[in-house]
Amino acid sequence: MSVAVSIMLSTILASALIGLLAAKLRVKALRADTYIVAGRALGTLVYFLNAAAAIYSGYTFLGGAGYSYKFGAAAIFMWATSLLGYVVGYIVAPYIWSVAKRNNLLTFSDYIMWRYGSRVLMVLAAAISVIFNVPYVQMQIRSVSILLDLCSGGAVPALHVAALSFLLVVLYVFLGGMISVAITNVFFGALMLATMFGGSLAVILKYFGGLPGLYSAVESVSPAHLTLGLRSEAWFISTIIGTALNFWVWSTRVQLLYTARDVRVLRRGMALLSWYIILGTVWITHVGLAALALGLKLRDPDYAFARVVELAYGEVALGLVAAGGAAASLSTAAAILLDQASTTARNMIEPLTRARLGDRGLVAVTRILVLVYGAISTVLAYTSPGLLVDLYLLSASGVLQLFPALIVGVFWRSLSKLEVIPGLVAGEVAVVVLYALKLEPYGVAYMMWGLLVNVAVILVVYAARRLAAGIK
Amino acid sequence: MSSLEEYKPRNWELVVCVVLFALWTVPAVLLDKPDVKVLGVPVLWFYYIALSVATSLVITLMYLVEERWRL
Repeated sequence: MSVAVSIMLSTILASALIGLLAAKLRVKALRADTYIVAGRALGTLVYFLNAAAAIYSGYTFLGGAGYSYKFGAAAIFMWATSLLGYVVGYIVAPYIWSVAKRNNLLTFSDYIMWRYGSRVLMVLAAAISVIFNVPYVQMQIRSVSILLDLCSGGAVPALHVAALSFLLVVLYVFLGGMISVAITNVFFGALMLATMFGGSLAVILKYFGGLPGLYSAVESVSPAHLTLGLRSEAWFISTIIGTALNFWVWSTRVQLLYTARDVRVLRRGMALLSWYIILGTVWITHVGLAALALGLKLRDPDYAFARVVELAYGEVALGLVAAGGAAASLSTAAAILLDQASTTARNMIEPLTRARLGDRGLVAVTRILVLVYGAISTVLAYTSPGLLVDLYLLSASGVLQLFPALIVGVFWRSLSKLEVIPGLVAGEVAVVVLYALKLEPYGVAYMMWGLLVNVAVILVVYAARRLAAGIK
Repeated sequence: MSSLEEYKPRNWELVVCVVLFALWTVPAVLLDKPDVKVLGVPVLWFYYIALSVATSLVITLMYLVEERWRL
């Protein structure tokens, strides 16, 4: 076994051990709020690193460099997505958190139920959150598999080992819930930042002496990579708006907000997370340019970060970067798994069967569902690997349609379920149709067309209701 | 003021949010000129690196102002 594979696998095993030990540390484990949102007790450091690790997936870790290698400056949209996301988060998260704390909300769909008083909308939001997150978990398993393949040169049965690593994650999520996820993610979050910042900086300084040197080198190889020309400007602008608005409507991220001890922790967390982007994503994007300037011919653009680091510093460095990538993937998978399971138990099974699960019952059903969703994602990673990127874009577009329900509803007090439900349905239909026809009219991303249809329907229904009320 | 009202987004925060969205999107078309450089860095990249740092500073300042206001 190569040094790089050993480092990567040791990291995965160490993290699983941390997760399992954390499960032993838990207090009042059968309380639903302890299992699902860590008792709303996380302080700044744990909240910050847990959120960072859960939000930054393997797709971001590998894709940051991969996207700039392929599309040049268009990759800057990734910086905007997160930084504008944190601005929105800073403004709305304290309100959502305080509602959740006061009403003992545990999931994103709980908030929708509280805000609109509609079971239909709650179940719809839960279904969208759960279904559109399935490919996202599957994608994390594939990311670990890609990294293993890269480190071992094909000598290790990568997908089998990745699936096994994921099952270790399923085990600690099953046992310890959010407490295990959070404590493991402290380790993962720190490792990711160290590898992203350290790896990128080391490469750029070694080969180019700094950013101006890197840009000059890229200019001599492919000047188009320094511009937005490899994607259209309309695409760049619409994707920034779409993905930044989309940032908080992933149900996992809303659930993470609930874990904060108080509003100060949340606000401090948003500020720290924004600096995480400056030290992580901004630098890692430049590594894609470095790979290009160094003339690397990559089988897959997502190999850019690992390949450049290996070229510069050898196998140990490759192992560390791969470990960081695995950390990014598994931490995201763990948080999503818990969110999918708790959302299904609380917002789908409980209302649809009209059963009252109670605190212990909710934890028990959530635990069973952690195993079920873990198994589904593992099977899908084997059976439909080719669909991943496409499905991710569809997922992001699908969950964006929840934006009016969550964020606009905070500002627009008279917005009701009567507008939100038809808007949501119309937005989802528009997304699926445009996706199926592979259409992006005027170069604008189809997620934005879905949102436009969604908002238009909301405004029309609202105006019609006002008009009808006026006539009466 | 109830605790829920206390945490409702304020108008000035919304204005900051809209301004930042505008700064991240509107100038993209104007700055996409690889031959124009600032300190050896293409102006598009320079602008977005500076804007990234500025956005983080804005969030940090909003937090610090909030804390000071509470004291």
